[in-house]
Amino acid sequence: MFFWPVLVVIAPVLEELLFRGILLGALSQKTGAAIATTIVTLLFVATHFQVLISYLPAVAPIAFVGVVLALFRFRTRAVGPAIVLHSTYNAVLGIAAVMTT
Amino acid sequence: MKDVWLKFLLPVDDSSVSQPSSPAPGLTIGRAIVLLVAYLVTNNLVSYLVLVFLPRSEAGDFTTAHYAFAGLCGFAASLVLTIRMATRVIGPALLETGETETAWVLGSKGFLLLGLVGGLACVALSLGWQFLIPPEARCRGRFIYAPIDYNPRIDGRVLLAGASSDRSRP
Repeated sequence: MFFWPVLVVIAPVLEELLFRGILLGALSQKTGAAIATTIVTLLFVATHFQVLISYLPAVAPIAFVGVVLALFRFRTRAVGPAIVLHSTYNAVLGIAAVMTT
Repeated sequence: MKDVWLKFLLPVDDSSVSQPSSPAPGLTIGRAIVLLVAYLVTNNLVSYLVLVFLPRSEAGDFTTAHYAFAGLCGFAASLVLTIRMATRVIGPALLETGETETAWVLGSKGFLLLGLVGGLACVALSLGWQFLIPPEARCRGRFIYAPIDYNPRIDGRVLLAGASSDRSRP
């Protein structure tokens, strides 16, 4: 019951506003898109340490999605599409996790 | 204020967007880092406090529902903080960069749809790469990113202990 609001709504909105909306915006003005994407993706992965403690190989998909979200942010020049992508991603993974347990 | 967030959240036409010549006054790396730290502190602190004050089971343990509720409270608190700070300082500053200073285009809904498709594609890739691992080497798990039945309490302990992965053990 408490799992879904965080997974599908709160976390995507919060993380996209914070990482791709604000951090990426601020960093890319100083360092350029590539370095900013790298730094923000590393921070994004680091904040998912609870998942990584449980299953270290998760670093690959989390980093991959972080880069894709940054590309979406640069390409569309908005945070909305990245929020939709993140929310869809989390929702489908959550459904998959529930179905396999 | 509503217009600010609508413009911030929805995409705009690339062709008529001018690149910012200088960083927006409100959007600095320092403020971004402060916000990140505030997010981490608020999220974890609120989660911790909620967890501490929740009634425990008779054995004195926290349940999964306890952790989930505490996590929800932590995320919600940090979301409020982020939106509040972003709305007051950084959101309007983003508008000043020229990112969202152009007219709306019909492609905006297309970009949102692209986000939906992109999310599905990312799921396929995130889960699909694990099929490259030989079946006998896959750990089976309950975690989102792990293949089915991976249990860190059992598998992690077995790995740390250097023992065999005998699943019949408690």
